[in-house]
Amino acid sequence: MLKNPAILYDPLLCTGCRGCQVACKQWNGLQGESSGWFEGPSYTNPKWISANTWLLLQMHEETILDGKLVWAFTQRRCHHCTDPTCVSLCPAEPKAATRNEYGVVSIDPALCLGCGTCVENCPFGAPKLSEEYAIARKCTMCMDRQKVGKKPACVTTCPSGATLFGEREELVRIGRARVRKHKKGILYGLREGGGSSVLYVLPYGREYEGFPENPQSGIGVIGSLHRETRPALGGISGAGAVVLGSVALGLTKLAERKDKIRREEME
Amino acid sequence: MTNHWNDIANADVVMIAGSNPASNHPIAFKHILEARKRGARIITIDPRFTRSANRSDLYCKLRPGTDIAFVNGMIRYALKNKKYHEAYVKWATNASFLLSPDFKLTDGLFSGFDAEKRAYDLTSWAYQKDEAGQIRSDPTLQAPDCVFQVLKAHVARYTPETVADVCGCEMKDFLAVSEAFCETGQPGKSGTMLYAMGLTQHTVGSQNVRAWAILQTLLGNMGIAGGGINAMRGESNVQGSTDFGLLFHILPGYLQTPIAADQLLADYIKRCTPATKDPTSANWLQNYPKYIVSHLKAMYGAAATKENDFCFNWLPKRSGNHSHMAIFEDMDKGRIKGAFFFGQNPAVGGPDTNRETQALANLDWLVAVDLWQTETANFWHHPYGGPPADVRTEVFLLPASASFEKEGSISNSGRWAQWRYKAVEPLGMAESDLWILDHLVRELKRLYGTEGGRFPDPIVNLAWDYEGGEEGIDVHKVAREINGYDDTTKKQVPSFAALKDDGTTVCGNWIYAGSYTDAGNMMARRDPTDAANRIGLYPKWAWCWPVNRRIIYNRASCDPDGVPWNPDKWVVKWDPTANEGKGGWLGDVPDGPWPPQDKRPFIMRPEGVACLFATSGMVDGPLPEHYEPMESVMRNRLSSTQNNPAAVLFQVPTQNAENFEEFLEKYPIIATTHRLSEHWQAGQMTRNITLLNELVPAMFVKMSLELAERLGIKNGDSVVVSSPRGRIEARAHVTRRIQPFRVNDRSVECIALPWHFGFIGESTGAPANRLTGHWGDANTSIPEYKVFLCNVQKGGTA
Ligand code: SF4
Ligand code: SF4
Repeated sequence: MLKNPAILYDPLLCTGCRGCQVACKQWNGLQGESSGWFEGPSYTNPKWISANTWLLLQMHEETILDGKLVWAFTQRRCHHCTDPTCVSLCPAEPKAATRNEYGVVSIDPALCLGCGTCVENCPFGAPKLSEEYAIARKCTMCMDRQKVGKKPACVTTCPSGATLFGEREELVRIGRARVRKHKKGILYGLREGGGSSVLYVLPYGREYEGFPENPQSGIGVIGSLHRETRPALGGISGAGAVVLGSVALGLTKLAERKDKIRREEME
Repeated sequence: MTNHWNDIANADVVMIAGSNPASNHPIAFKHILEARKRGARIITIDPRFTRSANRSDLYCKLRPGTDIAFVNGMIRYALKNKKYHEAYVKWATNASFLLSPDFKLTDGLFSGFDAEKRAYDLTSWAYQKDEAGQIRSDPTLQAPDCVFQVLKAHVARYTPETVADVCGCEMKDFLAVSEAFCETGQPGKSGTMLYAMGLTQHTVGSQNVRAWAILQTLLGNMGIAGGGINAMRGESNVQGSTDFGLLFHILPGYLQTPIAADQLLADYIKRCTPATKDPTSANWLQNYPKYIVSHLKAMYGAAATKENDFCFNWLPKRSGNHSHMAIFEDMDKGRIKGAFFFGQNPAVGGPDTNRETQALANLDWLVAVDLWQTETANFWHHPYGGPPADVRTEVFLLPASASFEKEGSISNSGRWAQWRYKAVEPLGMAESDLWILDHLVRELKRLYGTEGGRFPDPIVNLAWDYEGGEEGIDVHKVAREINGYDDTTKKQVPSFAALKDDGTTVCGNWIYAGSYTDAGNMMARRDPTDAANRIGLYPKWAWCWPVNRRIIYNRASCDPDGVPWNPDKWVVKWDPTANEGKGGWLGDVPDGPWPPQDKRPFIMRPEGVACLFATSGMVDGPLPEHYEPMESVMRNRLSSTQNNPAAVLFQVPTQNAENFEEFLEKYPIIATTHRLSEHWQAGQMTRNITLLNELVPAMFVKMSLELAERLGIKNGDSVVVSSPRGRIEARAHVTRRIQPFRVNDRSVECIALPWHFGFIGESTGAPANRLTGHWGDANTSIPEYKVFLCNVQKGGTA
């Protein structure tokens, strides 16, 4: 195990092959989503991260810089925040969402109540409730692979080197050198949210990816991920207050449902 | 490839034209990114803004089917601005050779054209020779009839204005590409050219490649590290299949198939063995007799003797064209009764699939050997094939094993033959291709042996001594025979230099001699140490034909004294002190052992040099000339010869001089077909995988925002695309990644269709090839998949 394992994604190296999306599903046994059409912009499919899609390669067409067409790619996934709202707001006792000593944030399926608090409050829209299991599911940074000395599946499969895995310190060094070449370039995740374990090279700035400035504030920032080309986040809506209200409601409902499933299983 | 995958990283400029490696060779694209990391510039020329274009430093669009105009324009640019590598051109090309005064180009037609036969007589495309039979030359390149001046005059018409007009690109983009790429003409600089079906699938496909080869030669990019003309193969072993004679006109090792005129082996050898009077030409193919005789010994074993011409007359003799389209035409006419389709799915992948599917119904029997149910195996309920009950064809589906379920070699684009092993047992009743063939051959031999039949000798006497292994056939025995051995000592030959023409050596495929020697299976080597020149040759990793030479024509990477043009990335160099002062080459396996001055570097041509002007080898012109595709939005700007006059036509062309405008009104939109990362070939291996169907769930038509707006089509709407061959329904993918072209001062739309879809599998969709035509390249007969005209309307239920 690395001391502080991290992932660095660089959209300028990414060729949009979407091997990462497939490898994630294959390793984690997640189902393919059969929508019949590209639900998101360009070839993006499905529309957004779901309980069965922990890593989504989003594609959209942009005319940026001197009017040049850019087919922009980005990975949507859990950022493994240092100060994660999913952990701080998780109402389960003990907490289902935890951040381990390596900086990897995971949701323990045995402890998860399926209340949806993390789902509603994650600034990156990463955890999603699984209808099948009635718990929140998301990227685990392949802790199971890491424990046996392997890289996360998305990294292993990435042919271009756009998704790198390594000690956070080292990836920060690489990322910093890369963003320096771009006027508006930033290394997202370096400080945001107290610094996350997933880092992004953002050559055209933060707004361009629609990433929030201050992700640990949690509630309601998801809205800023929307852009005109991005109906992608359609499923996640509602500003803070509404969200809080529905959380309470959802909590009871889902806890009940989960209880029911548990009972059924035992019978 | 003249070079190989890893070598791309050595390039200073990477040219991607007629290909889209980011999508279609995503793993290999890392070599391109590696080049970029080392400072290379990446250029993409394509009708579409592809994933490769997205990762390129320069992108220029071009109208489908206009590559020759573009490249001839670049050649003109290189010549006019003296960007070519002059010393290289003088030493290693035929630039200085004088041409026959009878050669000319008149209004798009080269001399020697026979309109009735749609073919050229090549007599006038010849060199001037002196009394001794030596080619006359002018080393100053000034003589008006030398190749250099003829080429210069030929491309003079391809001005930047003309290129922009014909190709529908911006002149400034064309010039930026020309400038960036032609910089590699300086000694010490290199540019690699990466192409695929985007260049070849045209009625001018071979000439498209020729045009790039001429430019690469002028720039001194052949034979050097980071250079070359590199065909990126579309399947993991397509290189291997052509190496082993998959095509109708070649035997293993690119030996020619015999024709009726070859009554005796001697006739055949005389026809196929090139001769030269030039002492500086190695003319390697003078060894042709050794290769064919050793091949015949591999075919017929002890039955092949000197007395019976080594059973030469048992080889089938070719009459005419039997390429893919020709086979289906013959099927259509009832001339073919049965067919095997090994991992082939023409009901999706063949051109004009409606026509080809109907042809299948004329078969008495059809055998599909595949991993999955295919559209071909199920053609009888093809919605366009007539009522299923009327189809009399008996269809067999033999389940085959996948790559991980069998042992053997595969040869990649860079000519590396790599051995691989069986990882898991095949599922169910699936068997390897080798097993299937073995059983088939043995049964045929038994039946012909016991029951006789018409001409049983070649089958009964076919040498087939591969027994062994778990499967009953030993793949190693096959590989050993391919390598070849001395029939007397039974020792494996170390290379093709040991082959003889007297029947004492046996060799299945001369270019693979050296792949499985007495030292072992060279293809199984996995030693990742690089050679002394540290340019990524990895000579002990697998094995590469010919003779483990990783970069072919590598003697051209040196000046006439054997000193590398680029000392930092040298491929080979002459060391006069080696071999106790006799001298020798260092680095890659050189193209022959001779001292640099003794022989010129292009040893496979009888001239010994690279041919800027092709006196032979091309049937449709010694130089590339622009013609419009068979269906086009534009009359040829360069001449009144609209199409390649020698194109192979299996259908009466739908558009002609008389109905030109009328046709255009009916079918005003250019269409091109392409592949995706997410699906593969005819789709069987990907459209049955849910995780890939998630990525691309449906057949679609890529169209511009402008076209969609004009037709009132929204992204995701069902549309109908029609051509004179058929119609398909698919969903509209409205995107900025495809843009209209300026043609004759108006805007002409272009759509792009992935061709992976069919009606069998987890995800289904209309085959794009219902729209493509039955015509193709003059030299190779490859169908013109990459451009045709169509109409698009809103509607349908896709
Ligand atoms: S991205 Fe969301 S799910 Fe992931 S650690 Fe941060 S808050 Fe938790
Ligand atoms: S695998 Fe790598 S190159 Fe492919 S889409 Fe994912 S990040 Fe991009």
